[in-house]
Amino acid sequence: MASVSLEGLSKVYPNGFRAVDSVDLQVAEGEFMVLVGPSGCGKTTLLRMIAGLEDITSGTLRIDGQVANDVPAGSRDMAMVFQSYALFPHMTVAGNIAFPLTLRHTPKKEIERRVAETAKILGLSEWLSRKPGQLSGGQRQRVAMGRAIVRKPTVFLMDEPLSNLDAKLRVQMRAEVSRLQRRLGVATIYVTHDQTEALTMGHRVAVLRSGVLQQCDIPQSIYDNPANLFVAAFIGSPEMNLYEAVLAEDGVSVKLGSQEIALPATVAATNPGLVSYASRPVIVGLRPEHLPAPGVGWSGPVLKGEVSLTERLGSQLLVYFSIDAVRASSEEVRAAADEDLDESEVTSAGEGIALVDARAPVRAGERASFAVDTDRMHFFDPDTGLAISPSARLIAAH
Amino acid sequence: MTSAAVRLRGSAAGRQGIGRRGRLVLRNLAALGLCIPFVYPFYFLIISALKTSQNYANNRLGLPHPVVFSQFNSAWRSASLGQALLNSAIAAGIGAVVTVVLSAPAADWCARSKSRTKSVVLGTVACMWMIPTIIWVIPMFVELSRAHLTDNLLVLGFIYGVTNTPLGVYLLYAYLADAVSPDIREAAIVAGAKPRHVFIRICLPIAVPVLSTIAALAFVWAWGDVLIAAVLLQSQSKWTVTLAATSFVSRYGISIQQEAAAAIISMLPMIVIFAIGQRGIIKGLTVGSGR
Repeated sequence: MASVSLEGLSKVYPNGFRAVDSVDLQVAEGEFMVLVGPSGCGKTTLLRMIAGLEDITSGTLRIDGQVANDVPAGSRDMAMVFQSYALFPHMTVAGNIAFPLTLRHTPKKEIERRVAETAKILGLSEWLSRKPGQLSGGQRQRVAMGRAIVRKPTVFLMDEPLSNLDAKLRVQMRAEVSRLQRRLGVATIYVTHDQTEALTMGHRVAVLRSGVLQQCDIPQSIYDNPANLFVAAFIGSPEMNLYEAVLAEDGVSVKLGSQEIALPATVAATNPGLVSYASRPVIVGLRPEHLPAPGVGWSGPVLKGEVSLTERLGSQLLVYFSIDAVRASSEEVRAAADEDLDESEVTSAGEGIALVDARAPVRAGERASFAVDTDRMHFFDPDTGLAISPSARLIAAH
Repeated sequence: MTSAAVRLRGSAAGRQGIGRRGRLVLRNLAALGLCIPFVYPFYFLIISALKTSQNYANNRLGLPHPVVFSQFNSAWRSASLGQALLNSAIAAGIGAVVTVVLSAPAADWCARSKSRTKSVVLGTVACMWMIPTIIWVIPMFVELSRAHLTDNLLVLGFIYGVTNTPLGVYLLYAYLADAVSPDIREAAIVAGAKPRHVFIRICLPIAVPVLSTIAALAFVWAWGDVLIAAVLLQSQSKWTVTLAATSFVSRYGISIQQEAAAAIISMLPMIVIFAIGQRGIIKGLTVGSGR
């Protein structure tokens, strides 16, 4: 077992493209670290640099405290699972799993024992004599995992290992991979573009954008306290509603288009930074799940909008509405939305999404009110895109 | 009126039916016509080899009457075809092995290299393949005779191997680039494999079908060669079967019938190889061209 430490790690290609930009990250022994970001954010490049498949332009990579920048990939004692599984098609399942051991001239008996043990853990015992071509996607994925765990590496690297599976299998394998990681207790760096995977699997999540680390924290903190507009827009599904707004002079309310939303004293208390934004524009973030239908006796602020479409999710109702405020459309927000074009197309102009109880009397074409959970409102600086909140932790500031 | 319409329709249908059948017959006749240039030489070889000299003199294109096998016997003996077959097998066998041994590492390098040198290498290989044999065979003979390396079956086999290496490199490169993805190579490297391990344990076993095809093609090409063998081999005891088969023209006057018998004998091993390996050879040629 080992820890991995990245200090100012950068990758610049010969054409000048900066794929990874001064990333600092510590992965402790036994930790499950998820690198997440939209496609092209440099997460896979970063993983390949750690694996030794990509040269490090500058910065230091340490494995267990030892500088490993120039250690060849095969000598780093890391195991990697590829998106395509990269199984050897001419070898049986047993041959594939045994491959790293045969390279190390492990005695035959020992190989057989460990392959059998690994196959048992992954439920592959009855498929050992099959070739990869005869297996289902899920089984292939397990063989790739088996090849990685059989040699008991010090670090696991996984590059979107579940993205080729169908939705149901992905959910199942997500849990299996998490369980396996916990059982083996090996530091794991897991790359994904799927925020659900990131939030459910990782002990900590590192959000990347254009090669720059945006925020690294435990999943709940990433969700509760996004450090900037990009993280706010990228994490959460359906995405956070972000509107341009103006804070009142005395800071007791915020104006969203023509609607004024009163802010209780607790908001100012938990966001002391807001004081300096009095009478100034801010960007307000409201997650759809924090815009429920106001219950009987609700006396707090409400947001009123024209409902354009509703989608039933069974227990909840997804409501697409529009207000006369302007949606934040800074570069950060657009970069995050690239990931899910369908949603960003729907939510243009002053549109927003609310998640209300399935029985709420909300109908398309009517005007509806949504209770605003002011304690869970997010405020961002429109110029810097950074969160106006003391609890948001931006790694770069450390 | 109605009966006329029925008759009309009936005759139209009839014409259509005849037309369809007629087209089919025409198409088959055309196909047969296209086959004639390919089939005729074989027909001529077989009937000539099976005729008596008198029968051949009287009726060149007719079927043999009576059927005799004496031409095979005398051709076998007078041209030492037994020895010649063995010589061909040695030279073509060496050629096939050399082609595979040389092209495999070259193709592997091309398949994994990301450098610009790769396209230069592949371009050069393609150019070498396109240069006609006749252009380089005489200078090569001069150089080899200076080094006392002519009239040697091992050298001939090696030359065959080298001649076919460009083809081998191309076929194998195209296959490896498709069948052994960068992920597979990298998975092996991260697992601790050195490039030689990747080549020996991953690429070669995956490429077995293509390697067999390359070996078969190289063998068949070398077996059919006359030009290089004629330039490089002097002693009759070293002649390959194609060279021996052509000897009837110059040495014993023109003995078309013995020539035909010798040609059939020289073809037989190739026919057997293709009959057995046809499926594998075609699979090897088309594998990697689609998923």
